[in-house]
Amino acid sequence: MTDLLRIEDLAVEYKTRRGTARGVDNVSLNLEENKTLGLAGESGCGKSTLGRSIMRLVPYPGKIVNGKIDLLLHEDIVFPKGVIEKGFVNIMDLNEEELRALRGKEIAYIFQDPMTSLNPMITVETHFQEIMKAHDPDIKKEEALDRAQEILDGLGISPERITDYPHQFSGGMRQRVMIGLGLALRPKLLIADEPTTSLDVIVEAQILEEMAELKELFNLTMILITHNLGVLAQTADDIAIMYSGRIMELSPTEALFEDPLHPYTQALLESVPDVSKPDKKLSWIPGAPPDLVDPIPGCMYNPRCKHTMDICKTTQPGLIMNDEERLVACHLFGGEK
Amino acid sequence: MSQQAKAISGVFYFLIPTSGDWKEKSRNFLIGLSIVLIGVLVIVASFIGLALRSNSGIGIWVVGYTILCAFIILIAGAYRRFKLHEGLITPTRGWFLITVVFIVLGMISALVGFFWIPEEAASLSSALVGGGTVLGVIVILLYDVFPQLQDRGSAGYVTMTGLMIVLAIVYMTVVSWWIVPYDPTRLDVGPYGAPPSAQFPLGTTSLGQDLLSRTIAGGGIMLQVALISVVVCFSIGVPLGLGASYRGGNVDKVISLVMDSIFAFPGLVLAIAIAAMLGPGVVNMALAIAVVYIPSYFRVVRSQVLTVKELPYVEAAIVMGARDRDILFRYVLPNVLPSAIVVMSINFADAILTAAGLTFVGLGLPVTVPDWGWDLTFGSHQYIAGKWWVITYPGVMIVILALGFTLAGEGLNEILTPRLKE
Amino acid sequence: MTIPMIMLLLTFVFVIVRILPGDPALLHFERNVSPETLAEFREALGLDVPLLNQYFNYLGGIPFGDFGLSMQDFTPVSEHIQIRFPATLELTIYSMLYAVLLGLALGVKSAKNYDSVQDHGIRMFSIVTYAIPVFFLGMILQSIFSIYLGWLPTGTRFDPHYSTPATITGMYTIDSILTGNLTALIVSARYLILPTITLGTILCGIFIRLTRTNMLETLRQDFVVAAEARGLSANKIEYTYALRNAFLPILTMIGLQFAALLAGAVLTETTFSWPGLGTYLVQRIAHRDYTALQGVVVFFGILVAMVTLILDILYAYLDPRIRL
Repeated sequence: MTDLLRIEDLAVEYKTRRGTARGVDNVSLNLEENKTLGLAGESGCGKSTLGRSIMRLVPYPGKIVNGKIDLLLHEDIVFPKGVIEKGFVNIMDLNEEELRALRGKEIAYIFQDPMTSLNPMITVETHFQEIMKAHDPDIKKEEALDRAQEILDGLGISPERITDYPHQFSGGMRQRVMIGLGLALRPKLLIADEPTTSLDVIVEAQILEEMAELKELFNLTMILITHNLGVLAQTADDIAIMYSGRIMELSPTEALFEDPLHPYTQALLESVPDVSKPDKKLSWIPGAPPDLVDPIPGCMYNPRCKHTMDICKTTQPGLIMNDEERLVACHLFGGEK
Repeated sequence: MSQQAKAISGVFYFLIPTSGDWKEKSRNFLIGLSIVLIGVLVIVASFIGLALRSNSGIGIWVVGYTILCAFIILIAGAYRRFKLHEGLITPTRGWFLITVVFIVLGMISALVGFFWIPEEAASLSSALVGGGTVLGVIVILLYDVFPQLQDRGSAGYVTMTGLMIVLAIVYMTVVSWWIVPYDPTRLDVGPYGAPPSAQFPLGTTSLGQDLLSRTIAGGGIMLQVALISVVVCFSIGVPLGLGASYRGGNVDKVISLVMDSIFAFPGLVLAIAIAAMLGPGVVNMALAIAVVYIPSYFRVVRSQVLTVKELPYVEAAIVMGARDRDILFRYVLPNVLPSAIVVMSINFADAILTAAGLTFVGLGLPVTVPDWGWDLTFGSHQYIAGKWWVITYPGVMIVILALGFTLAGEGLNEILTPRLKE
Repeated sequence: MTIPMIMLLLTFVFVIVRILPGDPALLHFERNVSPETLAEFREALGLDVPLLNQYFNYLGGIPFGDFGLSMQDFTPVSEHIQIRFPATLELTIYSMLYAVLLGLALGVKSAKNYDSVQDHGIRMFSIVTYAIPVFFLGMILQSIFSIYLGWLPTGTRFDPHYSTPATITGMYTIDSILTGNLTALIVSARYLILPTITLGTILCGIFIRLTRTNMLETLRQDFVVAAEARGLSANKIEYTYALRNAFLPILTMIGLQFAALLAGAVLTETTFSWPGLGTYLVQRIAHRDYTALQGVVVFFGILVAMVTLILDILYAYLDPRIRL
């Protein structure tokens, strides 16, 4: 399998009045085609920022200060002012026009809150017309309408409702519309940022199932950002656990749940309730995540870790590969970097 | 860096370079400080220069006395800081101490005024008490409040600038009678409508009044009108808003309707109608303005109360059986006051502009009272002939005063009622 | 809601003018007058009947456009309003247009360059416009452009050397266009420039701030970022997304500012000797003509109530969430 996305040494900084915070700190990862990568971690660990920086949409006052984001294009992307040639393209080198041509066309992004992610002032149809027109100025109105209705139909929304305004839809329906908008132009990569967090459990299950189906149908590669490990257990092929802007562990899903390597992953899994084991004793992680403006030396997790050693307080562990080809950033697993 | 250090050294904190890039930082601090110092020096020097040429002959002593008062307050403030740092007194006791110093100084000033020139005691005493208090407040603001405001970023600076502008003008107005070079109420002290010259630095009006004297003394009417109208507005609008919206029901509906209908009215036109019917006078003018602006308080307070009333902690208090009085004063009022204070500071600017407008349409005070609004109105017949100075100085003063209040309101708005936060 | 508000407003003005001062007729005469003259005067104005009757006569007249008689010459105030209102309307429409357009342009610029030098400059400008008395700004502009540079006329509405356009609406610029009178259009436009800029600048501050705040809030919202993520162009997002959502509060503000606009118009007209309702009002005050004062004030009040009502309807029409 070939990689669709390669991220190298990505760093994002937020400038605040108190100082500079590293939201994402030297993250590198590769994503194979047609795989689903889960990004998990506590709130504020940088998982959304990482997702957003792939599209270069880091919210103000954040800024990507370093790194390479290579995306594999299977065909040339032609847009009114130029062409992006096929092959690997570094998203960091693209200008605004080229980025715009890429966004929505190659990469789609689904946001957490469907209640606020649709423009309340325009109809669903206009949303579809806009995105199709933005990437293909010559498209006919009727053609765009037909395609939009087809997509909605596929998502279980009656095509007549296309002339409705967003506020006339329920939360689950709106998220379906968001997914439909995301997939309208057949992108290769779908980044879903907590797509089901604000929905109730039944709708959540439906949407996740539909997303899995759509992934097969469209040959999608997916990055699923969530703090809910249960969601990832069902959908992800690999899971990356993030903490304080860094990746702590990256393992295949099954391996991660069976045998978590990093102490932080272990602690996280111990804090998740399991219906099949009602006797399981839940635990929590003492302490709070470190202040990103005033980072501590060594491993960021060391104040909360059960296995803290001297080296943890001085040297930052790098992400290293163990015998089972799993990646982990912890001094417990080999000193060689 | 620490809160402690900031609290101890007050405005002088900025002289201390912080660690690391201290060279660059201290350079910025020095530039900022020198701008502030030069500004203060220019203002103080002009006050002293004026005081030396004053009509009353004792201007320099009056200004000197108020500066002495400010110095005593500064020492009291430093003493409080010291005690606070040592942990000997609580902050509340510290403020109590400052208040006592203010009151004692005020009483001494009144007595000084009385024994200095017995026949002018009322005027001199009020100048001394007022001038000393205002300068003292400026000192306390710079020394004690500024370090706290500074934490709020640009909003803190904006508030401080506004307050300083306003206080400086208040000070000038309070001591004006003793530092003006000519009697501002007298006509024919110089030629008619003469351009600025050495003898009359800002020129003279077409009635032969000295424009410099009138510019210095002319803020009194506006400040009085603004103060009275704002106090009236505040003390009617806020309780009315609290009561009506907390009670709800028909009372609320009726009062809201009345307030809305006043609010919908063109403010100045309504004020014109009231002022025309009440006749001239400071209080009448203030009342006319007050009626117009009561609804702004009412509306802000009402919308705040309606929001706060639904908040879980207020509902919790109701469930726990708290008395209405306690809920209103201890839960609702503290949430409402910040917005009311913001409205108040903006309202000051509005009141000043409306007062100027009323004067402009001919509903002002008689010519003998020095008033910027009147000078501006009267000058509007003169500047067509090229006499730019007759409107420029009074007009600019009104703008500066209104700007001071607007800046203070703008800054307070960001500090007290945060909306756009990262 | 508009009807009871207008009723309250009418009552309010009645109380201020007829009851508050005791006797407006007596107040009108500076020196003592003979009782006969006074009685005649009262009878002519309808001030001789009991207060309650006066009140109902006054209320009953309003729907028929009866705003009372002037104390000066006993002519109906409505006649003066009819003659002078077009001038005021012309000034206010152009000023509002200028204020809204300038406010939108600067507000958008400010929001787009958030926290830059431009942004701070524009914010400062909006604060300063709020603090300048409108007549002082008028005088400054007059001094510079009329007296010093001599480019524009100092005041009034039209050059007496030219003939005014035929009256259709009473607004000279519109009438000139309707009758195809190019000279009159240019002349009247020249006279309009300074008063419009004066009044518009004073008002634009609030629109700058409102546009800026709303744009900033909208630009931070999820659906704007979502649109960006779909690859929509920056212009499309800024104008059709952010500005359109920011526009509704601005529309409300236009309604709220209409009152301030009329108040400012009174002072602007006086500064530029613009023969509108404002100058009429100020002249009547100088003549202690309290019945005319009452009529004009009531007219202003009803005008504002009507405009607010119209904008409310427009608002409901533009916002799909309110639309039924």
